[in-house]
Amino acid sequence: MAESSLIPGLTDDVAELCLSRIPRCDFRIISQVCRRWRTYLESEHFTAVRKLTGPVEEFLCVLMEDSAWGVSYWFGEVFDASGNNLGQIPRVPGTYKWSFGLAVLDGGKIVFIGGYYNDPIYEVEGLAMERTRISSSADVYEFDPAFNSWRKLAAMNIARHNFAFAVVDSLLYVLRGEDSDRNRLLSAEVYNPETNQWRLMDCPNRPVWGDFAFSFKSKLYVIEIYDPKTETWEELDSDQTEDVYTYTVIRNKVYFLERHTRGMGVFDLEENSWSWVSAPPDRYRDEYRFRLGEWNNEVIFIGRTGGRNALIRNLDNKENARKWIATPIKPSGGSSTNVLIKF
Amino acid sequence: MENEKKMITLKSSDDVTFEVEEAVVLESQFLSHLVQDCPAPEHKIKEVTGKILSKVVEYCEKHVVVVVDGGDSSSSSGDDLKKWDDKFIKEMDLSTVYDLIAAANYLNIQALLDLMCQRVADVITACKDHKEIRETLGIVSDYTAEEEAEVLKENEWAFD
Repeated sequence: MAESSLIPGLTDDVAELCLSRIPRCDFRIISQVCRRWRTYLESEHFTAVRKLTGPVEEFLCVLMEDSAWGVSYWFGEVFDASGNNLGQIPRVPGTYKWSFGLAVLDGGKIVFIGGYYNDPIYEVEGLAMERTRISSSADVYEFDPAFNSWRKLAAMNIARHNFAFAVVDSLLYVLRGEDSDRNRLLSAEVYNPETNQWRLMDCPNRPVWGDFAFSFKSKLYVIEIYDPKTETWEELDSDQTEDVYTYTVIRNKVYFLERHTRGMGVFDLEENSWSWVSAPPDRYRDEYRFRLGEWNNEVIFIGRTGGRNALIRNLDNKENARKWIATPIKPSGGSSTNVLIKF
Repeated sequence: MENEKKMITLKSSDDVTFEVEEAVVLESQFLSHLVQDCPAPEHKIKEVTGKILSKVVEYCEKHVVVVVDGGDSSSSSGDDLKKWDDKFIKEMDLSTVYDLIAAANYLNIQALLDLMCQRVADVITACKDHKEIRETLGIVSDYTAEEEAEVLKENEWAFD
């Protein structure tokens, strides 16, 4: 066998099959073995082989804030199903924005949509009359884990922040939100990743706070239900959601937290029924609020402050068992948003 | 007297013969083409030794039963088969695994190839660091000391 073979004793075509089955949490160690392995791991050929024969793993990607030399920015940390911190997602390009949307396209690509930024235009020589105003943004960026980098996608037709969004059958829908003057927008648009284009569409007016959307069985739910096939809207009994600030959808259930309610709301989409279950108590909340996410098919509660372990419900129902248990997932930064990707 | 099941004889590179049912041979894409194209009673497989061919036959015989007797509780269910696979690979040293990979690749037995490649991947992931991987697989690092120090510092999570 040649000196340059990937694994001595195996031909490279089968050695490649073996290496493609190694979970990503071990990639760092694998790349330390020798230059041949590292070069192979970084090659497009490896990407192709792994896509064909390797495992698809789930990763919880947590986007959080940080700053350097007075400039704030968002960056990410990646956790696998065992809670290993696998490394970082580089900082999101563009200005530092708030009230953006974070969605997943094509199973594994993270899309950072819109938001607002502070626009320092009212600065008058030392007199801070009104130092900043806000500007909504139409910019959209996509993170591809295969390249560990961000790129710019086509911008939305209308700049917006604090909007509802969801991916339904590979199309990204963005609804309502607010403009730079914080006026409610009554438009919606849909992004097609195949054509890299946004198209404006009609959407009903509904002046609600805490607007949120999600996908279920090829339909877009956004307080109303939208059927892309018939292009019609249908009302959903929504008396119970008023001020949702975080939510996650796992299988057929939507879990959400509201600003003025202590528990966690659960909407069962199959049964069309609402219920409330307990959320981690105040002592965990650290005066800040949780963000919900999905991890190993369960709801994960990620605190607003960095450096704290995220919580999951303890499934052990013994009488004295702790109700909440800490996961190894411990994002270093705060104000986080999260998505689950398959890669 | 005619046998109900058609039997085929496989002969290894070192002339060890195995008499197997046709269904067993059909687990291999390569052999099923060979048997169809050339209806001889005996087939010589020059690329595979008797030691390895016996393992291949053992594997295929076990797996063919499951396909034929599917939901039968007296034969292997999916769980039992997985247990059997685990035992099958645990007893093997790495060089046998390599030989079986080569044989499964040549004979085109996808499930066996998957199982064996997974075994190699598991052996690699069971190592505690890059040094143990080199030792286990007999890999000579081609990094210079400086390069290696550099690589050890990296924080990439998704090489592709």
